[in-house]
Amino acid sequence: MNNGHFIQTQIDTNDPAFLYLNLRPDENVRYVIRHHWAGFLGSLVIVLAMAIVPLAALLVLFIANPQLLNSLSIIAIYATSYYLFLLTFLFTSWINYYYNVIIITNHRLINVAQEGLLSRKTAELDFPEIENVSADVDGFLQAAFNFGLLVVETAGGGTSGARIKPGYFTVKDVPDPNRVARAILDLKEEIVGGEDRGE
Amino acid sequence: MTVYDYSLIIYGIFLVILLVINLLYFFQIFRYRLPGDASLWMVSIYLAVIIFTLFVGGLFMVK
Repeated sequence: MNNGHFIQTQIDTNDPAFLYLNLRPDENVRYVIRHHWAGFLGSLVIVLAMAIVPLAALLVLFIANPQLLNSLSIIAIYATSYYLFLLTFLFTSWINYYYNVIIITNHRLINVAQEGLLSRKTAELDFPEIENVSADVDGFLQAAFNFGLLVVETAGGGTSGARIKPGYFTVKDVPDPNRVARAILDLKEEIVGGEDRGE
Repeated sequence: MTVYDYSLIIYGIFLVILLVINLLYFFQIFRYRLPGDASLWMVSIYLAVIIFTLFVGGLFMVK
């Protein structure tokens, strides 16, 4: 499974969209990684079920009791409200999924977590603090679509995206986590190795 | 006032609340979208589906 479209590498660091990250003058964005769409699948299935079941129930009720058609205008008001609510719920879930991004620059790893309306949390980790990076791919879905948990072990107290345990920076639903882990380790080697050589 | 009238008032209030929530989300999208992402496409599709739902619902609401 190709996860290339989730991992963006051609990035214009000067784009105003990155202003909120307060990048340092010599900092370049190397990767922008979005979470895998399979992480959004649960919300989508729930919304589809919540959309189909009431519609089917209404159809059965109308067939069983045609008198209900006299109240169609009132039923339509509540049904429309219900479907508008459902659409907004789906849109909210999509924003929470799509606006969770991992940004890798030549200095640090930034995990931006969208948590509902107007709540956005940013956790970051400088490359020298990174001890090790590993990928956990668990279960059929994750193995089939090649996504999983990215675990970054940190040298200090740690900054944890999901706050599973201190000393670990974790991000779930990362597409192609082995490739991302490799890229982070390569960047760390490039940056920390360069500093050690006095470059 | 009939049940229908009360229902329309509740529906109107609901639409105003929904409008405010959606405006806040649109603000977030235009603030945090990244270059070349699918945000504008998704907003367009979402708006089209919302308008379709309002239109179809409105057709059945008319007495």
